[in-house]
Amino acid sequence: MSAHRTAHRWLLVLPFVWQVGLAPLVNDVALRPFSLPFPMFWQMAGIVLASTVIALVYALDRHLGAHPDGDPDVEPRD
Amino acid sequence: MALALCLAIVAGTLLGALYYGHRQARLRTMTEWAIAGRRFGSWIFWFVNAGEIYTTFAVLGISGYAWAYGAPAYLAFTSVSLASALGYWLMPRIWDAGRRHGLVTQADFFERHYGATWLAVFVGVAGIAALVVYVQIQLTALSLVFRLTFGPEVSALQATLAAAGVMLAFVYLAGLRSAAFAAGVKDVMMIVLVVALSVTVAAKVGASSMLDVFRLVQDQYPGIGAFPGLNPGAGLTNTWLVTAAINVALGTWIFPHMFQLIYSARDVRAIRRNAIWQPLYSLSYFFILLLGFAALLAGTAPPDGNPNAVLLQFVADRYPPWAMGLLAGTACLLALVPGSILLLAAASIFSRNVLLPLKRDLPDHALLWSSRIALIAFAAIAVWLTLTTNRSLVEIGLSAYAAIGMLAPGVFLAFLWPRATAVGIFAGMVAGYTALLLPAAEQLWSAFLPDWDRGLVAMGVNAAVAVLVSLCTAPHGLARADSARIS
Repeated sequence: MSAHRTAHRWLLVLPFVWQVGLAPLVNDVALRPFSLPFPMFWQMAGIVLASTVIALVYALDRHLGAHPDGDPDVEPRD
Repeated sequence: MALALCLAIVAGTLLGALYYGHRQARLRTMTEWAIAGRRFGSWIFWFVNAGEIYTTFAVLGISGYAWAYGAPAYLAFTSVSLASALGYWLMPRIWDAGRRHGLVTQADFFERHYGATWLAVFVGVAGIAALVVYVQIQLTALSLVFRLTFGPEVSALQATLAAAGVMLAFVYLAGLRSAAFAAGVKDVMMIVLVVALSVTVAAKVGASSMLDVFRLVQDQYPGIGAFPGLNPGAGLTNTWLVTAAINVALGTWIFPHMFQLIYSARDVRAIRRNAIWQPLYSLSYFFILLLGFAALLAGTAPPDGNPNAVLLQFVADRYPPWAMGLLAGTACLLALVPGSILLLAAASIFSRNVLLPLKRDLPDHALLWSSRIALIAFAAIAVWLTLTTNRSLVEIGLSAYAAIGMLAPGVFLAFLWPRATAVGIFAGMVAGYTALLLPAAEQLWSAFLPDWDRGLVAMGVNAAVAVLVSLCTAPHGLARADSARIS
């Protein structure tokens, strides 16, 4: 499988960067958006980010994929 | 009132599930009973998948964790989104292998990929062990609901046995299709109920609005909203969150029942679309945390200080009896649906991957019946575990993830590194279990990696040993050719 057709899959790392990688850095932010503790707000924003990123990757897969399922991973049904 | 409602919900759902299951039934083969004939489309796949994710662990466990520790309950917010991001890549690979080789269980996957039946037997037993720990979570919760609903005169033994009995009845009577129906009912009920409790909770605890509950709890309990939370001595630090969240994400799809669930999808599109929407659904943990914090403000005192009982106690204290009945009934479904799917997976692994290699000429119907009998044994072990351990649902959950993490290197290496060998994977698992269970290893980790999730540490040891030993052993030709096809 050619690399350029699956390179956008690396976007799927972003939710990990946000929810795990950056979580310790935002732990002590004193802001309270909507009265919520900031780390809690951060994690909820991370969920929205995750769905957005996965939807984007899905759209790119369908756009780039040759297979009718829009899926570069899976071979066509025999 | 509460009791009658609770019973009506459980009985009504069971009957509905039976009707639904029988209408669609072609349950005579193993493939149909265990993975629904690989015909689940987007909607039904969504509901079964959500049924796996929104369990008693999430509702009773996380509200109890929020009440007892505060911020560490945020682990729930990472569990679904990270697993979905990873699953988007991983699930189609598992599904494709299942479709091309006619796999039914997870151990089938190991047998096919690594070309070693003995490894599949070992993987099968390891998978069953992790599933039984997961069933323990459901039984702990179910017996708790029974005791709070029927009153303290019901002993823990009676409640746990009754819980196991109801769960077995649920599995025996149908199979995965009935569980899909029950999962739909319970998800709708849970969402409606939790939202209804949440919009009325402010007035119960002297707050002016839902969000005001968060202001009050942070003012009255400084430090609750950030790590390490209310009890710094518990070791639930940022490091714990990071390592536990990664371990949960890596372990989610490795559970044998999740493998079977992935096989049951009709196509890759159902799987991928599910990965998009499932994280948004997990925003509903907001309400679970809200209720846990509200219970703290209300001074809720659960029996024996048991955090698992906080939500039920809070609702019993502050809401009318019918609300308690609805919650108890829904909580029963939250335990029964995943519990029955877990037992189903454990039993199918037992008959296919442990029993069948010993007696090759067993016909399909004998296989089906032997797996149904094995269910009872697994339920009995889970009952024994439930009665002999006394931990929070989140702690039991994390130990189930630690147990299943031992199979993760074998799955990931199958797709990432064609050079991995059966002997290497086996050696990794042995090293991983040693790192997880040996008391001396535990001392080592507490000295050098305090606050790290033990499951992730053991998984690291496992993966490192698997790679090293694989490099020293001859690769298996079939495995190489196989992963070359998936890329």
